[in-house]
Amino acid sequence: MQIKSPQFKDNARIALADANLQQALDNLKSGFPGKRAAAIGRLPEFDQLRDQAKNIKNHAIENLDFYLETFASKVQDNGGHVHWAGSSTEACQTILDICRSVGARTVTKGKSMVTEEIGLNEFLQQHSVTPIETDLGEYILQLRDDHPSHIIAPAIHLNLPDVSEVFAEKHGTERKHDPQELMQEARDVLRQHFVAADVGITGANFYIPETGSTIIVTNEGNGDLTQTLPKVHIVVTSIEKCVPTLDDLSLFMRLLARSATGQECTVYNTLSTGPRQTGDQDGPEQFHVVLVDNGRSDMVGDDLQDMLRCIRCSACMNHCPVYSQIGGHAYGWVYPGPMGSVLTPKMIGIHNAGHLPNASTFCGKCESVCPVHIPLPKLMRSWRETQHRQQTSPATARLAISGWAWLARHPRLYQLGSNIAIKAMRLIGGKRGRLHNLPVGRGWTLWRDLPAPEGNSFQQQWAQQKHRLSDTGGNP
Amino acid sequence: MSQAKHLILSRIRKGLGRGALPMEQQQRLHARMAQPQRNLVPQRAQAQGQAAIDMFVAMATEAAAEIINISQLAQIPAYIGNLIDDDSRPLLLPQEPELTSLDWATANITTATRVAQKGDLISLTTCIAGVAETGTLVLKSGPTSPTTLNLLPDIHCVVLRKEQIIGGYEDAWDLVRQAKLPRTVNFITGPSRSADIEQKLLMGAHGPKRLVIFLL
Amino acid sequence: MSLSPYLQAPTQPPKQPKVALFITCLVDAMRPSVGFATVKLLTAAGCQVEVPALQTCCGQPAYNSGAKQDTQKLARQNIKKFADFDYVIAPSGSCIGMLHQYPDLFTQGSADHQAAEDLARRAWEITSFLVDVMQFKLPPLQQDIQVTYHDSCGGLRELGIQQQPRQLLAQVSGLNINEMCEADTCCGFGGTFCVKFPDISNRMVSHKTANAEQSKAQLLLGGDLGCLMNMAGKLKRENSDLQTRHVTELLADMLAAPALGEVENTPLRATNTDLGYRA
Repeated sequence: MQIKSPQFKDNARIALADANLQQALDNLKSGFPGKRAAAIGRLPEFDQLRDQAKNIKNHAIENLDFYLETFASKVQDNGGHVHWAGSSTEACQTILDICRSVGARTVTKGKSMVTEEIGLNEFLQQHSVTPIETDLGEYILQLRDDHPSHIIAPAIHLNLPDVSEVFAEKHGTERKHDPQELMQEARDVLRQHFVAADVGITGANFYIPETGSTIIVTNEGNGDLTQTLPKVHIVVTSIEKCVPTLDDLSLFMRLLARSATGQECTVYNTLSTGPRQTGDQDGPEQFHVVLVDNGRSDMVGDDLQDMLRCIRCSACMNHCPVYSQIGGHAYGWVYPGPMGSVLTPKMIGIHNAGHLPNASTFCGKCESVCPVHIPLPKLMRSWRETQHRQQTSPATARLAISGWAWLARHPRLYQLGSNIAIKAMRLIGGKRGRLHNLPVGRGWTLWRDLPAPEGNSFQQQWAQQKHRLSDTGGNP
Repeated sequence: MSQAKHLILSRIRKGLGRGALPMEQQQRLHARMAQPQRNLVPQRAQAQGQAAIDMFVAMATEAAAEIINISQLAQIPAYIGNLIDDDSRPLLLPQEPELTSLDWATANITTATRVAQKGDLISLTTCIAGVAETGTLVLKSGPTSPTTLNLLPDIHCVVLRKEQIIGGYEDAWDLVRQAKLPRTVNFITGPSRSADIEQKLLMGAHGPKRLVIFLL
Repeated sequence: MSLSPYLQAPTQPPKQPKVALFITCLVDAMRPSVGFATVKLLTAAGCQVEVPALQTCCGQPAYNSGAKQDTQKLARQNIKKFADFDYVIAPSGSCIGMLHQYPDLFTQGSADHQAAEDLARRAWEITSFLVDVMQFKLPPLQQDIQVTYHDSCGGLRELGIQQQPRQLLAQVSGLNINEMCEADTCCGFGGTFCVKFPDISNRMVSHKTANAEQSKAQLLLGGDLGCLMNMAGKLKRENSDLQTRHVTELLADMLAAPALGEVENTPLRATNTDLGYRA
């Protein structure tokens, strides 16, 4: 998809002024965080489970080469095929080749952020294969030629009238206003596609080296129909989604839904192992797994390695005060919110995504809700360090910070400067107790006043007081 | 070895600052998978006996599954007759004698033992377990239990015996591991749903609109 | 931004500990009365308070701007300045939180790292120090007042400060805390964030002040001057009569200075009346 991250500031400004979007974002704020808190309240062991999940993910990453090879050979033992893809292009080409090998014209798709990341839909369309998104949210977006703004609630930026309108237009039906009727309409239309598709493509929430299985976690059941009805099931997953055993998986099943939607458990947790077996009356005849790297192997052993634990639950963005003001599209690429601000610069380059790791107050709410304890503020800071080192952050900001830091290391000069600034601010704002307009720091006074300094600095006053005390022999 | 595979694995090893894992370490990891250990199992997932049954019923009900208590399988046709009303579409059954041998004719129900198709109304299946901690049914695919029966019809009915109710997911994996892994293991918790329109929960997205559990 | 590992309070409160006030650059320049209030509280708790001369800043602006080397230099300077004290106390969770991050700046096992850990173990935010370390009971104080409390992010998530200020406030007779919605959601200050992304920051602080207003409190309190200046600045721009102060000013009974952004000490707005009414 087109990269719009460099325009983050403009995107954000537009988003803040978009009443329709703001109304939609209120649905998010009033939904997921409260439900998550309630679900966690019912599972006293939740924090211990998080600690264990973090350890298991770390273990998986530290042995990732071994687990990948083991998983691949298990898939093959089960009669499936494994394809390794270093880049988006390789992944797309591999998938296209599989589609072509069975003469596929249409493919159904379950919800998959990795396929968004690699730009699969555009690629298939360019090569005369029609992808059909089957998750309700993704389907709505596809009809609108739109992209997800959230990793598990893709159409969170839309409201009911948007859906009514596009369904009436694209389905050629009468305009409906009842959400239940709209969903029934989508169900009816997509049933045709499920049955007609030659290939079904899903992602995987996890892959399991113990058994060579992949698992998808959904509420609608579209992923299950996608992978059960066509002749060929292609799983597109990324290399870090390793959970070594089924017992380890239990842990993640308990964390994922609660962290994401606040459900105790999602409706469908489906384990897929190879193609249909001898005697089976349904299920795909071919089972392919495409293992996508796309920059992840470079993260092993570097500052961002912790990010490879991410299970894409979306808790970080659901609780992010920045995301909840501007929505996901402002971030300008596939992955929004705090997790996206760490991942996106890796995938599209820090020169494109430079604003993202800076667009955080480091309030730390994201880290506090992460089911695998990813230190998201620390990882965003590590991008800022990269920018500072490579001198790719704005030169004025860099000089200002370095100049100020130099001053802070020269306390006498610092205090001199500080006292001058205090005097100046009191001169401008003293009469009102606050400053309404500042030549420097317009970002502040554009929207709010600046309380004026009270008087001389504390250190000045303290020194004067001590001086007076010593003059009077210590008696005040 | 494919070029991509080679590159991916060598980048990972470079990042980890080592070559391929030493044989000894590989054996340890193979052993970890061969004798998988449980992680922390929450208290609630350790329920047994009547406590587990009660929890299953409460959690499944919360997930909007409908529970019908029965004392023998022979009661099922009458209940299904009510669910079907006067719809003429057949009840889909797996090729399992305990279900096909029930007296469907008296209840005026036509049955079919085939995979499900677009337009089917209702199916009745068995399952391998009910997980108490979340009210979740566990179903396996196989020659006599096509997966489509669990997904395509508007109404999915499942027979669950009380002795099949287990505490947590770990117990389910132990059952699954007793035989060769099937193509599909479905963990199903309530009927299909979506909240993709304005975050409001709607039931019956793509899978069954109703999930009826006959608790025996 | 996880909870600091250096927060072990002694089981018994220390006797007359030698305490350094780390004034923080914002309090130093903008609101000295918070410094005096802090000294008063520390003294009341039995501490011997000193203010080491020539203090500057904890280095957080540099750290969060990616200037790690600059931060290291500032950290060394502060480690040295505060070496000889039993405790280092600041009226700010954010700046003390930064001191707790100093060890991350240095290689594990190095002398710098050890010294940084040593400082972190001695560094406490004022309300948590009073409650958790000194087990301090507030001297009798009467204030008939409705307040609301904003949990600043650094103190809350790095130092676990949430109950401590409320425990102290609960000891003021006549005082009632009207908790606002989303008290623990960021106010949008974020250091340089608020000038780099003014539009987003503005929306965040607008939500915060709306929540504070809805609490019907007379006084908005908090433990970090950056957040307080942000919220007070927004309230003043909106012509609100909700006043803003640092929590230590009230606890130390030092309410003589005008509230933040006020030119004189105006009476608090009336309780439980229509917003906008001035007593």
